[in-house]
Amino acid sequence: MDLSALAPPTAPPAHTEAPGSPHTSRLNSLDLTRHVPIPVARKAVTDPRQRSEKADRFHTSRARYGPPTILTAQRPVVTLTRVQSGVGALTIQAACSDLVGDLRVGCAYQIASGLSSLIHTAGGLRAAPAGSERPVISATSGRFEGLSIDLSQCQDIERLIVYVHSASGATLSWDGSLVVQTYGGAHIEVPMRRDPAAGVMVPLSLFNVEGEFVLRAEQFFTGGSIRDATASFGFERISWLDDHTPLA
Amino acid sequence: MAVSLSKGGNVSLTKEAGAEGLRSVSVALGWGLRTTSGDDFDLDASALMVGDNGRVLSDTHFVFYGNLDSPEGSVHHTGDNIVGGGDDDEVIEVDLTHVPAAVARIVFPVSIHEGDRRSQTFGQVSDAYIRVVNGKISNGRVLARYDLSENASSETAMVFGELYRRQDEWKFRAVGQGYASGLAGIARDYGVNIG
Repeated sequence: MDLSALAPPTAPPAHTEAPGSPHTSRLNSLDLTRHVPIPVARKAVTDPRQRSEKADRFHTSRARYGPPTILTAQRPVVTLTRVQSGVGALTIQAACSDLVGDLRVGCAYQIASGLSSLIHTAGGLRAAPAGSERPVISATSGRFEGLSIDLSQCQDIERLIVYVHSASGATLSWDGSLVVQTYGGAHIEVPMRRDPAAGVMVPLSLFNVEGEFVLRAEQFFTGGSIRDATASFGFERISWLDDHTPLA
Repeated sequence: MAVSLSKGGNVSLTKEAGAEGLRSVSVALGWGLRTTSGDDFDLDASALMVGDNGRVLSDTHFVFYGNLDSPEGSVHHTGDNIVGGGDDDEVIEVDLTHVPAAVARIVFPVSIHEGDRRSQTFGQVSDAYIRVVNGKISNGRVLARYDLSENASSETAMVFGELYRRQDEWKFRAVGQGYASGLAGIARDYGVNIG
């Protein structure tokens, strides 16, 4: 009997822990059947036929050009095709009114070299990797603050989480949506509405699963720091000056 | 000796291979830069496996840096910065014996990444070529070559050439067709869902 057919779809777990973190240690019991694999980007695909069969086994939610795909608690995941994950640029913007407050956008990322760090506009970190002449991820400004991912380097991205917060630590009247747009014009939206509070929200995570970007609405909020929020998703290898300021 | 083609010309690879036989080919593409504006200049080769209707069999039959293998594995993009391939910039391997029967042509475009945004075109590219090698790039014999000479001052992508079937033969055609809409435009024209 092929028990692999009963395995869950290749969507990432909501909160992935870094190896060696306390949570991971709890998962490392002797019962290996309960182990949830962490998606690994750039995984060597030796037999494309095998990959195709695996993909056909599950229904994968896709985003198409046209009406926006809205990610909710009931439908939190969408998987971009390899074309959507590899052609042009992927833009992410926090679309909200001034009534929300001084909302800023950042992300914690992990790239194929193993480097983990932040795009942190409030602290002047606007490119990933920092100081790169050819950034994989860049902060963008305009009507709404956001991020742009250079998809010609899509293989270099392992995962990232987008966080939004108040640079001054003020209470925000949470509203609006995080809007992801593919090069071909497909829209994915993650609502950011919740009761007013001070803290850090992580509306979205992105995992590179064998060349396809899996986007997940995380519904995560902490009254703590950016360091707390990123640590909750396993970004333990980032150096910090303080709870809100990464070293680089 | 390799057949040197001009734009629109074609050659039977099967006949050129002769007694060596023709089971697989490596399609190597290369280019140089005439001028740059200082911005990074990023060119990418890809392959589109299209049927008689001129459209890809599926989105996964668009083989590029983000999708290195076709579903059945007959077309393989070896990635950027090939080592050991001489001056070639990118190489795409085609196992002709396993190309699905529904594939009538395999089209090979080269595109400038975000060329429109960076105001970069093929007018800044020099010495572009495509060559077809019997078997592996490292030790195979060159069957055909096409040196592009067009002054494509507004094009951000260009189809260099294509492999196609003619009865029991595989042939190669020198295309040299420019596009002003980049990789996305070419992909869309061949039926890839960019959305």
